[in-house]
Amino acid sequence: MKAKWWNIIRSKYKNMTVYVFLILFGVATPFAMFTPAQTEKVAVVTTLGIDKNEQGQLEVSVLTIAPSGSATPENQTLQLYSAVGEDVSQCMLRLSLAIGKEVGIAHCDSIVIDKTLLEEGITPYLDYFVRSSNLISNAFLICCPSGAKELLQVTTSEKNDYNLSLRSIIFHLDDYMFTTQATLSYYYEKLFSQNPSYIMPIIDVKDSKEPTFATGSTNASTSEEDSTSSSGSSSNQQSSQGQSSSGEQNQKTIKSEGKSLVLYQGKLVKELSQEESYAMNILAKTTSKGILMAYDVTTDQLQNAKVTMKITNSQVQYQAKFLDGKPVFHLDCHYVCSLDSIVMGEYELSDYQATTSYLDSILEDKIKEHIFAIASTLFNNGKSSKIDYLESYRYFEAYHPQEWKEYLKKVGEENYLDSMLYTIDITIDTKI
Amino acid sequence: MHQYIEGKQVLRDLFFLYNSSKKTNNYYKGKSWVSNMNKKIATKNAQNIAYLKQRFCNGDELIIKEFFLGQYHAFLVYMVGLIDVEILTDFLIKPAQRVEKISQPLTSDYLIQKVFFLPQLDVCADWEKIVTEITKGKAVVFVESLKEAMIANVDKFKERSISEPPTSSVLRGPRSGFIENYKVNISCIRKILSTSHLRTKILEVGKITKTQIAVMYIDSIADDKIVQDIVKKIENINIDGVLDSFYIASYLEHHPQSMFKQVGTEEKPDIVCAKMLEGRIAIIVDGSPIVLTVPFLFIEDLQSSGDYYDQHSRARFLRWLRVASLLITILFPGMYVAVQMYHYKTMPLKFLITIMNSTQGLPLTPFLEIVFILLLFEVLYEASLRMPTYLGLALSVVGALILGDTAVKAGLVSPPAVMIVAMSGITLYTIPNQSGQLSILRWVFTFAGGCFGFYGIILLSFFLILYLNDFDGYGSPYLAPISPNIKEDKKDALSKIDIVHMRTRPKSVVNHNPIRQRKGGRKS
Amino acid sequence: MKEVTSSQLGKMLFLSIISMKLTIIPALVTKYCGTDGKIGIMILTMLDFLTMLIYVNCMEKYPNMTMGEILKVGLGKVAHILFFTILFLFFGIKCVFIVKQAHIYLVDNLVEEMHWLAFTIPLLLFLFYVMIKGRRVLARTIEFLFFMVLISFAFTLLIPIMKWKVTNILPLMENDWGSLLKGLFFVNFIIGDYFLLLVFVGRVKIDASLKRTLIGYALSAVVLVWVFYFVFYGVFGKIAINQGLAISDLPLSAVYPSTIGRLDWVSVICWVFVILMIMAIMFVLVKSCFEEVIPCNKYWSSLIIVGVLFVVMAILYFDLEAFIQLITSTWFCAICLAVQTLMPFVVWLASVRVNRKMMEKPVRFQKEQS
Repeated sequence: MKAKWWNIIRSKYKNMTVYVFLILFGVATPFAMFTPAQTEKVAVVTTLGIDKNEQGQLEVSVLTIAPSGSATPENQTLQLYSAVGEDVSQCMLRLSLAIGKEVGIAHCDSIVIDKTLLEEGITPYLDYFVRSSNLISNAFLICCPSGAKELLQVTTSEKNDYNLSLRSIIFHLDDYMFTTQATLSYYYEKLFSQNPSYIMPIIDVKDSKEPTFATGSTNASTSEEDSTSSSGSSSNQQSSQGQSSSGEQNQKTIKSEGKSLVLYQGKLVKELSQEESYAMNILAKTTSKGILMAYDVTTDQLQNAKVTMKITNSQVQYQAKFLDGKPVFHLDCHYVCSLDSIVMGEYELSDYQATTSYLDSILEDKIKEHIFAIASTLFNNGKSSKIDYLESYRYFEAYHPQEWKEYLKKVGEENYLDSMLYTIDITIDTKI
Repeated sequence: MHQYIEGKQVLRDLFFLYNSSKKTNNYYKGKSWVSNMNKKIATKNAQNIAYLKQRFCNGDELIIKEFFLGQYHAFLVYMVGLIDVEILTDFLIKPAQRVEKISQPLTSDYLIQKVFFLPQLDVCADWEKIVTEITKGKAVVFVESLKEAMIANVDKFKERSISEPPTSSVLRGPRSGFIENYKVNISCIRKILSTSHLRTKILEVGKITKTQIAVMYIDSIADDKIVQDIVKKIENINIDGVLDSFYIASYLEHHPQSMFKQVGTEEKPDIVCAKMLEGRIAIIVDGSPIVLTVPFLFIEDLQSSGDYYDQHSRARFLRWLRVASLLITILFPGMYVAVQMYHYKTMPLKFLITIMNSTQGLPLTPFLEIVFILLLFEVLYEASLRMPTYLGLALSVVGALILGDTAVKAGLVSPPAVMIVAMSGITLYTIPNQSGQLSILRWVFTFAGGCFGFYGIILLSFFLILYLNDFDGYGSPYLAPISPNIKEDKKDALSKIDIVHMRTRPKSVVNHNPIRQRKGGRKS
Repeated sequence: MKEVTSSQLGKMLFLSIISMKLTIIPALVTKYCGTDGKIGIMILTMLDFLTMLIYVNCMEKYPNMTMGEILKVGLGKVAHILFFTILFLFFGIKCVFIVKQAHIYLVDNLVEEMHWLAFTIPLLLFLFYVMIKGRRVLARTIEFLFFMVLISFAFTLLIPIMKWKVTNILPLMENDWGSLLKGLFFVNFIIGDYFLLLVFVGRVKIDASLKRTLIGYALSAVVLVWVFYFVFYGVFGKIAINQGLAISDLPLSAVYPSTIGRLDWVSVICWVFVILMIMAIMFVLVKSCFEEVIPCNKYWSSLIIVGVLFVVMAILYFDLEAFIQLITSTWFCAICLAVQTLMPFVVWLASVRVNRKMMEKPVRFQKEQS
C-alpha cells in the first residue's frame, strides 16, 4: 500500500528520480562550475625542511612544484619557499600566506632536519606532521648538517631535476642502509618503546670542488644561490630559475656518504662511525645489499690479498633466548655473494682467472673474522651508549615475556643491554 | 493516453469524412464510409466499383481493370506499383480470357479450382478487409453476381537484399541480417530453427498502418505465461501507426520511464535464434529490420555474436575488455573532474606534475572544461550521423583535428581532458547497442564527479546498481546472473566457457526446458 | 514473501559482522584493551557467533513466520513491541555511529573540505531510496558489490604485509585477563551483529545449505576480522592507539609516494563502497524494526527515519568524542551487555512457546499464521 502523499507526488511527477537528480545537480552545479582545480589552490610540496636560523627562530622550507606549460616531470622546475615562526604550525601558516596557496604536503616524501635541531630534540617539531592527515606517515626523516634549507636549495638547481636528486638518493640508500626504518611512523614507534633510539641517515651539501667518496652521490649540479632571506618578512621566496642575481656562483652538490646519526628520545646522541654503519649494513634485517671484506688473505692462490665480495642477497634472522638466566641474542646471517675484487701486490694469471664463485675456506674464515670484529665493535659501543641497534628487546619481549620481565626487574629497565650476550652464526654462499 | 489517441483518431476520421463527402458520387453522397465499416460487397459490379472509387477518393493509384470471365462481367482492382504484373497477367488475366463460357453455376470455389492457378487465393466478402488487402499490394477480383471477391497475393515490393547489418558485423559467423519485410525475417528464423515447435503468432497493430507483428517462440522452451503476457500487451496497443519495432518496445517495458533498455534489439537472425533457444521470445515488426527479444538482461549487450564463433578464451578476454570499456566510458570524465577538483592527493606525483603542467593557465575550470569538450564531442557525433557520408568525413576531420587541436593550442582546453573524453568516446562504441544510455550516464557521472567528487561518483554508482536491481521484467532480474547470483549462468556471462560445458539453458530467463545438451559429443 | 536467498543473507551477515569492527574501532579497542585487543576481539566475536546458532535454528524451524509473528504468538504483543523497540534503538545507534564514521573517513581520505550538508543531503536521499526499495533489492545489490569487500580487504591486508612484524604481535597476552575483560566491557557494543538475522526470519528462501552458507560467511568474516586485527597490531604495535582510521592507515603505512604514488585511493574507494553497503543494511534494519513497532507503510517509515537522522546528525555532527563517550559510558555498556545477553534467550523462549502452541492447537495456529 502506498502513502497518499506519495501517490500524489508520483502522479504529478512520473519520473521523480530524474527530478531529484535535477534539483540536486541544479543546486550543486553552479558551485562546481566556478570551483577551480585543487592544484591551483594548493602548492604541491615534494620535500620539507626544518631549520633553526641564526636568530634562533624556527624556519620551515618547502620545495614546491612550479607548473609550466612546457615542462615534463623530467625537467620540472621546483621552487623553494621558507618561513620563520614559533612552531611548525605557524611556519606553515606563514608559508601559505607567502605562497598565496595552501601548502599541500600530501606528496611530501621526506622531511629534512637541521642537525642543530636534533641536538635540542625533534619530537616537538614532528608533532604537527603526525596530526596532519595529509602527510603520509612513512615520510623519511633525513638530517642535513649544513642546514635543511641549504639542501633543498641545492635540489632546486637547474641541472638537478627532482627525479635525480634527493629522493633517488634516499631510495638508493634503502638497499644499503636502513632508510625504510627512518620514517616518521617508525620514529614514534621507537619513541614509545623500551629503547627509544632511532637511526637517521645524513645527506649533506658540499662544494663540488671538495673530493668525495660518496656511495650514492648524484651528478654534479650548479645552483644559483640568491641572497639570503630578509629577516623583516615572515617568509621569502627563492627560485632557482629565472633569477640572475649578482651573487657569487657557488658550485654545490648533494653529498651522501652513507652516514647516519643516532637519536635517543628524539635527541642526538652520536654519529655512527663508518665501521658501525658498515656493521649495521651487514647485520640489519632490512638491508639486502653491501659488501663483505677480508684482509690479508693468504691461500694457495692469493698472497696477502684484500678480497671484496659483493652481497647479492642476504638473509639475517634474529633469535632471542635465555641461557642460565642471561639473555642471549643470536644472529643467524646468510649471505649470497660473488667475487667483487682482489687487491694484492703480485697479480698473476690464476688470480685473473678467479671466477665469481671463488670462495676458499680460508677466505671464508677471514670474512667471518672481519664481520665478528665489526659486530663486536657495534655491540660494545651500543652497550656503552645504551643503544639497542638491533632492537633485541623486542625479541625477548615477544618470545620470552615472563623471563624478560623478571630479567628487567633484576637489572633495571635501562640496563638491560649490560649483561646481554650476542652470538653470530654466519653462512656465506656463492651459489645463487 | 488511449483516450487521447482515440480522440485524435475521431477528429481525423471526421476530417476525412468531410473531404470524401465533397468528392463522392451520387451513390454514397452524404453517407459516411465509417458507417459502412462492416458492409459486405454487392453482387453488382457497378456498385462495387463506385464504392471503391469513393473509398479511395478516385485516387490515381487505384487501377480497376474490367474484363469478361466467360459470360460474366468481372473486374480486377489493385494499387499501382505494389504488385507483380507478370504474375497478375500469367495467372489471373490470361486464364480469365481463355474461359469462353461457364456452363455450371458460378461459385468462387469453381473459379479458384478451375480457372485461376494462384497458390494464395483467398475469398472475402468484407469490404474492410478487401480495402486493407488492396492497400497492402494484393489484387482483388470481383465477378458479377458473386457474393465474395477473390484476393490474390501478387504483391511485390522493392526491397533491399539480405546483407550484413552495419552495427553487428562479425569477423566470423553468419553475416545475414534482417530486412524490412517481416515475412522474409520470419523465413530467416524458420530456416535456422527447423522445428515444428517454432510458433508464430501474427498480430496486427496500428489503426492506419495495420502493421503485421509476429511473435515467435519455441513452444517447448519458452514460458507460456510470458508469451501470453506479451501477446496481450501487443493486442492492447491502440495506436494509429507502428513504423518501427521501437514503437512496440515501449509497450513491452516494465519501467517505461527509465532510460535503460529493457527489450533486446537484434539485427541478425542467428542472434535471435540463439536467444530463442534460451527461452526468449522474438517480436518481428513489419517494416523494421530490428527484431525485439524479451526478456532482456543487461549482460546481453556485453556479449557479441562473435563470441560464440571464436575461441572461448578469447571471447572471455573480449567480454572483460567490454566491461572495462563500459567503466571507462561512464566513469573517466567524472573521475578526471573529481580528481582535479577535490582529490589531487590521490594522484601519483609524476602524473600530478603532468596534469598541473598541462592545465596551467587554462581559462576554464576543470568542470566547465570537461563539459565543454563533452558537449563538443556529442555535437560532432550527432552532426556526423545526420550529415551525408562525404560531408561526414570532412566534419570528423574538422572536428577531431581542427577543433581539438586548435582548442588545445589556443589554451582553451588541456590535452589530458581531450584525451579523456576521446577515450571515453571511443570505448562507448565497444557496446554499440548501449551507446545511447551510456552517453547519458557519462554526463550524469561527470556532474556527480564535478559536484561531489568521488563521493558523488560512488553514491551514484551504488544508486544505479540499486535502481537496476529493481528491474524484474518477465521474471528475469535485469542484472542476472551477477545479482542475484546464478552460478550456472555465469558460464556464459562476463566470462565464457567452452560450449561443450554449457549443458543447461540460462536460469535467468524463465523457461521450461532446462537442458541444452546431454553429455557426449566430446570426451571432456 | 521470500525476499532473499541464503547466499545474499550470508553476504549481508558478513558485512554486518565487519561493520562495527573496523575504521575507528581498532584504536578504541586498543585504548581499552591495549595490544591485547586482538585477543579481546577473538573472544567477543566467538561469543557473538554462538548466538547465531539460536537465530538460524529459529529461522529453519519457522520458515514461514517472521520474527514479529513468532514473538506475537510466543510472548504476546507487548513483548513483541518491546523487543523491536530495543532492536530499533540498537541499530539506530549503530547507524549514527557508522554515518559519522563514514564522514570522518571521507574527510580524512577523499575530500578535505566537505560541507556537512554536501555530505548529508545526497546520503540521506540515497538512504531514503534504499529504504523504499527494501530488503530484496538491497540484498541483490550487496551481492553485486560484494567483490568490493574482497578488494578492500586484499588491499588493506596485503599492501602493508612488508611492514608487519611478528615482534609487534607477541606476546599474545601482555596484560592479565581481568583487565582485558574489563576493557571488553567498554567495547561490547561492537558486537550483536547477528541481530540482523532476526529481521530476516521468515523472509529467506530456506534451502538445505542455509545453515552451512550462513556459518561459512559468518566464520569467514570472523576470521577476516581476526586477521585484520593481527595485521593492524603487527604493523603498528604500540602506536596502534593513534591510528584513528585503521582501514586507511593500514594501506597508507606502506605507500611510497616516489615509486608507486598514492595508489591507496583504490582501497579508499572500495572501502567507501563497503561503508555505504553497511550503512544501507543498517538503515534497512532500522526501518524494518520501526515498521514492527509502529505499523506504517514504507514511505512514511523511511521519511521519519531519514528526518530523525538528519536532526541527529545536525546536532551531533561535529562531536564524535561526545558520542564515543556516550557509547563507552558504564551505564550504556551495561545496558548493551544486558541486551546482547538477553536477546538470544528471548528468541529461544519465544521459539519454544510457539512450538508448544503448535502442538496444542494446530488448527488455530494455522489460522493465525494465515
